[in-house]
Amino acid sequence: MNSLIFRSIIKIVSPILMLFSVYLLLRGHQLPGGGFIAGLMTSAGLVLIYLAYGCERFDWRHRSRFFYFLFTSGLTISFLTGLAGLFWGGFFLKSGFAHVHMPLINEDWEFASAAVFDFGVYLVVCGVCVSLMTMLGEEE
Amino acid sequence: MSHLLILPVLIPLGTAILLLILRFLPMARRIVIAFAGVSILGVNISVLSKIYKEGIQTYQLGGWPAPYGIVLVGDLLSGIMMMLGSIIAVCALFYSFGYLKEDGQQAIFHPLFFFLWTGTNGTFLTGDIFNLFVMFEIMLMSIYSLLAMLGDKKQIESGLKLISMGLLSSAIFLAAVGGIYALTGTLNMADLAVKIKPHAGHPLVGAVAMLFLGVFGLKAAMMPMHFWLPDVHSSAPTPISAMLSGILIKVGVYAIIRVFCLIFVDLQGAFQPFILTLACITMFMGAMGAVAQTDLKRLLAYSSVSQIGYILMGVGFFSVAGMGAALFYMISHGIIKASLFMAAGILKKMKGTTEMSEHGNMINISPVFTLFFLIGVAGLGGIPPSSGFFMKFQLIKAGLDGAFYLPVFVALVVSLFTLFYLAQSWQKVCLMPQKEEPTIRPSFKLLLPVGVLALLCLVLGFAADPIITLTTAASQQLFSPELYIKAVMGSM
Repeated sequence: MNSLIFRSIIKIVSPILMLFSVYLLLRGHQLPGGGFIAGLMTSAGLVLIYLAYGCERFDWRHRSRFFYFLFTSGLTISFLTGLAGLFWGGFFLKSGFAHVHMPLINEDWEFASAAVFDFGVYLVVCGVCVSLMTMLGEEE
Repeated sequence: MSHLLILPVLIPLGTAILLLILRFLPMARRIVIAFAGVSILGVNISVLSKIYKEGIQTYQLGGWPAPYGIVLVGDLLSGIMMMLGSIIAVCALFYSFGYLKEDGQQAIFHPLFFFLWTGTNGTFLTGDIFNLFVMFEIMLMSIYSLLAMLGDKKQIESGLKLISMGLLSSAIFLAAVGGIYALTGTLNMADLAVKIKPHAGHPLVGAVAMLFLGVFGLKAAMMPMHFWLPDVHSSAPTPISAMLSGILIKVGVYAIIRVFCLIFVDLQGAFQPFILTLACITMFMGAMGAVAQTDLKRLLAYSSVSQIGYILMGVGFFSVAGMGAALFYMISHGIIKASLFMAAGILKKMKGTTEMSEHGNMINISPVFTLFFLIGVAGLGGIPPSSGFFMKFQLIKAGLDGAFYLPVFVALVVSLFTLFYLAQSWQKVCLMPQKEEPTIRPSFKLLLPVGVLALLCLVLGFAADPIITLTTAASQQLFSPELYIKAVMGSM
């Protein structure tokens, strides 16, 4: 898998995938998208890099703790968002939102607490997918 | 608005996450687990008593009212099943400390175990058919990993079987949910029950009901779909075997009851002969399989198949008495089977195998073990002081009242076989002389949960009356689905 063609294409494709996944994550509250699909897309980008470059520049196999940290913190974030809804909104998973005026572009942006929940999901999916893929790639 | 109903899902979920965070602090994990186990048990007791006193409880997730949002609904059936689940789970948790190796294994086992617990409690509580699917998935995901956790060859093989079974059933389940959504445009179970009424007789309704029966039958190991169970239940780590046979196969039965007593009420009559026939075949074939086994855990797994047949028979009567008997059977069988599996795990710990020919003479090695095992045998065999007598007696009585003579006859014949294979296994393990003495004695940590469950079996036998009152009330509630619908839709 480490042919020159593949590597060169990955150099271009991977950043696009990551950027697009961030876009999907942010639009997920009102439009199709969200944490799950964005997480899958990010991890697809990461796994492509892993396939093309192996462990030359980044030792994926010995970073399992980092991915463990990713999905644990993702779960914690999502769970705490749900709990916050219970304590301040009256129901578990109750979502709140606020309009914030952005100074530079002079527009009102809506921030919803569901986006935080989505971010947690994003981290979980990223962490689990990448650690699964690198585990499958191990030699033994 | 009381938040009591969300707690049985919330506490295990939070505990699982906390255990992931505390991965490298074994002492802290122990404290968290003990605290969480006791508090879930307490919460489930208070949920059940609240449902019993005040009727069906509902909780709207995120504050969105039914039928638009997702609701949790606790009726007596879910309360009883959660209670049973948490009793078995607490015993299995305690057992796991003695059974698994200290550091690495427990650090993986316990978070997954609590995710599993989240899934079972969620399944029992959810009032939304799609969320039922989600909770099933949470449960199955944790079981896959728990099963393959110790990583020997047999476990990986049975894990593969379980995964293929799970994926197949998930696909069919989704297709069925899609079909019913196309017809009615709703996924809330109470709303479905109302909106499906005008479509009675539509061929899609029958097809969807059949798909649901197939999917849940697959999970409950109903006969043509039982092939995965003996391997999976016998090769899983013992605390998980106890959970699988004690509560997880009953999740399938629970779903069958829920679907046929709430949504497809009109189809009960049409499906009755079918369910009863399958139940009889399941009972008989499961017992035949069990007679032929030489491995204790496999014998118990086949016996679970056979006992699921009894429970399905009680469900298939579709009468208040039959359903009540099936509920009592589920409680009693769950407790007894969990204790028997844990007893088999003690044998595994002593000699590394559960082949019955390798063991023997337990009556001299550990009289306490022999007694607990005997109580379990008497329980499943249906001998009076244990709860097993009442579970079979009620079922047979309900069958005779409804004039289902053939299923009752099959049940009686099969119960003879049940007593035969169990008594034989007890005799082999406890009375027969042994080739070589084991070096390890059964430890107190492992014997205690077995003893607690065996004691519960006796208590259920001596004080069967309040439990029967409870199960009868639950079954009356099931046969008046308008209560459920009113509780969910009335809170709009």
